[in-house]
Amino acid sequence: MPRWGMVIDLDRCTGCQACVVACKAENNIPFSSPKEAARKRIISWMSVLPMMEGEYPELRARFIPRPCMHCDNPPCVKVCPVGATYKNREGMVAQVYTQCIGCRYCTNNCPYTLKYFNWYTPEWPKEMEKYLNPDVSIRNKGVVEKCTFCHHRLQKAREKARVENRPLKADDYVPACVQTCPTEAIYFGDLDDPKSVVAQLSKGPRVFRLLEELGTEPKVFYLTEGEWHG
Amino acid sequence: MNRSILGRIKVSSSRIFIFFGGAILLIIVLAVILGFDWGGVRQPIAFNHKIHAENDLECLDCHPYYKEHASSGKPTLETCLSCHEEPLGESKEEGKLIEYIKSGEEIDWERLYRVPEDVYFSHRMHVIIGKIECNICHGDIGESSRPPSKPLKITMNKCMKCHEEKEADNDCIACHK
Repeated sequence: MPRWGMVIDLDRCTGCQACVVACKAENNIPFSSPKEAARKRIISWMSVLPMMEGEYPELRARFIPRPCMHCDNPPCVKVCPVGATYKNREGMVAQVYTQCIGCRYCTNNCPYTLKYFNWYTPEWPKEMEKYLNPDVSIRNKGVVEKCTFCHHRLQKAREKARVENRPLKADDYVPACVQTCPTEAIYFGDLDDPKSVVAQLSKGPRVFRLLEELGTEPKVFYLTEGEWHG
Repeated sequence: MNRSILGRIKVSSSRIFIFFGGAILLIIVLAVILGFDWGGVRQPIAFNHKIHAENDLECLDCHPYYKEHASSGKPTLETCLSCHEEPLGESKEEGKLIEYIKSGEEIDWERLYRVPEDVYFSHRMHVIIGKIECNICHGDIGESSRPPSKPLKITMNKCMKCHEEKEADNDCIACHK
């Protein structure tokens, strides 16, 4: 049984936000108006957090792309009263939209603020409707959503592998952000497979995780150097 | 004087109400007893599955994709044309098909089964990997001489029970997308 995880090399990330756009297109995430964004109601399963250091002209910008951390010890799951969010056997923190009652306990309990509530019925410009991804459901107003590690891609990849009577290969399934990253800063795979790239990178000296001290055991690892370490 | 007129009007309006109400109720009861088809799916041609099955046609002959894709597919006019270029019988429904063939217009078969919007269902997965027969979900459709107006009820409980029996994945996100 794989344990899916991600490694993001911050030295490679240029902050181009291609991952953000790819995620939105892949997962039918509606556009937000400036008004909604100002009210912090923007939905972005993958968001790049800019961190500015120093002052001009000695300014240094770093970017931290943040998908759902798919914690091994997820705080959001503990508070869901209806079992709409849970950790599956492969370590993915899943969200079942039809089960969600929209109480937003999980949204508030996520220390990374990476769960998003649908404040509005999603809408797209008419000409965009036919470009929506049929493999991803459209969430209704009043439910919480989040990054799924593009789980729908796993459903399809696994089916294909089984029909072809072979095991799932490492590159059969990667989320959209990983596929699109122009600098190949994001790695994805099975953390429990010692031969996988993610397993090896996640044990390297440059690794850190966000808010590690909380004990959430995130499965998104970051690689950096210098003062970022520790 | 005025009062009695008002009284009469009141009495007669309540009688009318009872009369019409009773009549409507009777119609509804009769309709339910006689099995009136409430807005079900109506196919453009009353297709006879049975007669096709008796003539050694397999499901795959008209629903060509269920071994390869998520959806099973509906027969195109070309599929029908491969046998019905000339009328094979005298039925009225075949006559309709001949009209379609003459005009070259595709038959707009109505969709009977619809997967809920939040569910990923693949025919290929179930037929090739699960090795389940069509009738497990679709019943004796091959025995029907008229197209059903309603799909058989397939509930999540039914799916999950079968998954349990076949030791298939019963994780929510194995099917919910």
